[in-house]
Amino acid sequence: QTQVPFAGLEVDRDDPVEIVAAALDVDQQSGRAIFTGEVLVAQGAMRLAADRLRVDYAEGGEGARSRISSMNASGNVILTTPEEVAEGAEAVYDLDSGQVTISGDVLLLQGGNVLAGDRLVIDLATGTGRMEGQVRTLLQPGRTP
Amino acid sequence: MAYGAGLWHSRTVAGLRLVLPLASVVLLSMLFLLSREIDPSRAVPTAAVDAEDLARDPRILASRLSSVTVDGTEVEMTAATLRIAAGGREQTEAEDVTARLTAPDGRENHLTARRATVDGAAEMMTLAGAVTMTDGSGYTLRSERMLIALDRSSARSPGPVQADGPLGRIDAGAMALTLTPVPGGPATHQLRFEGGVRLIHQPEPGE
Repeated sequence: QTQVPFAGLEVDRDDPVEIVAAALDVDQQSGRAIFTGEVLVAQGAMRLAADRLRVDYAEGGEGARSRISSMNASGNVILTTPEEVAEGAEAVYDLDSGQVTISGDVLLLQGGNVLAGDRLVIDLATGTGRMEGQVRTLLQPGRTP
Repeated sequence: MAYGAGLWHSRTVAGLRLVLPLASVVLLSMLFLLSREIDPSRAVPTAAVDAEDLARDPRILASRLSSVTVDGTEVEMTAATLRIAAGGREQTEAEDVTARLTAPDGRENHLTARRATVDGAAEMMTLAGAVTMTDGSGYTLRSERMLIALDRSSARSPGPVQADGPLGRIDAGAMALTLTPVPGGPATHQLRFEGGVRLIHQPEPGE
């Protein structure tokens, strides 16, 4: 368990979310939306790239627009902020709690050093992150820390 | 009956036998002599449609076309006017069109367009001109052209589409409405945006 400051990340949960992809399937019955093909999610200073993104949203009240409650990205997930790059197999962005969880051989590149672990939990509101599960720092040979 | 009464009876019968036929002849002739002359050129006053215009440009008014595709989607189109296109026998053109696609599970998609051409041979209906589609799950799509197959479940917009819905504003290069099997239930419609998709979602402030 290593506490990781995420200095470069100020993402306001109310910032608009822009999602770009090759295709989007909307299941009319459940309303679930699945983006496929070079998916890129942008919100504030955060970028999340993946092969596939499933978006679940909570039904809004009467007439109120429903809102995205969570996004599940899978396949070559890369999260970038102005100063950090995190990579993993999957990522779940829970908009309600403002938390992004990247899992599956996570690598975090931050300020020149590389941190590896099983799971990286980032709290967008406070801009802090926590690497969990066999956390190890990969020192790049030949670079003085 | 006394003898005198019998005489009176036969005399009135003989009189009536003469008067009644004469009266009917007079009545009958009056029928033809006094009738109003009929002006064939004047159109029937109650016709709401201008007969000459309709004769010049033959079209059907308030027409309705419906067909069920092989896999169970019901396609229905109503138009203010429908006419046989100049192109060919199997081609018809319609204006002020509304169409409805009903999936086997009952979910409906409503479309409107300024024009529609129905190609009977190709079993394809093309909606053109400000095509809008509202689907069951709250999406409203706008496109310039929508191709709707009449023999199988396929409706697609080959060109750019703009959609507003629960997720926000979607812009896409193309769109297709396809029939997707639902395990254990009737199939339903699936909305697929293709050719590059961009979604803008504005979260509700202050949640």
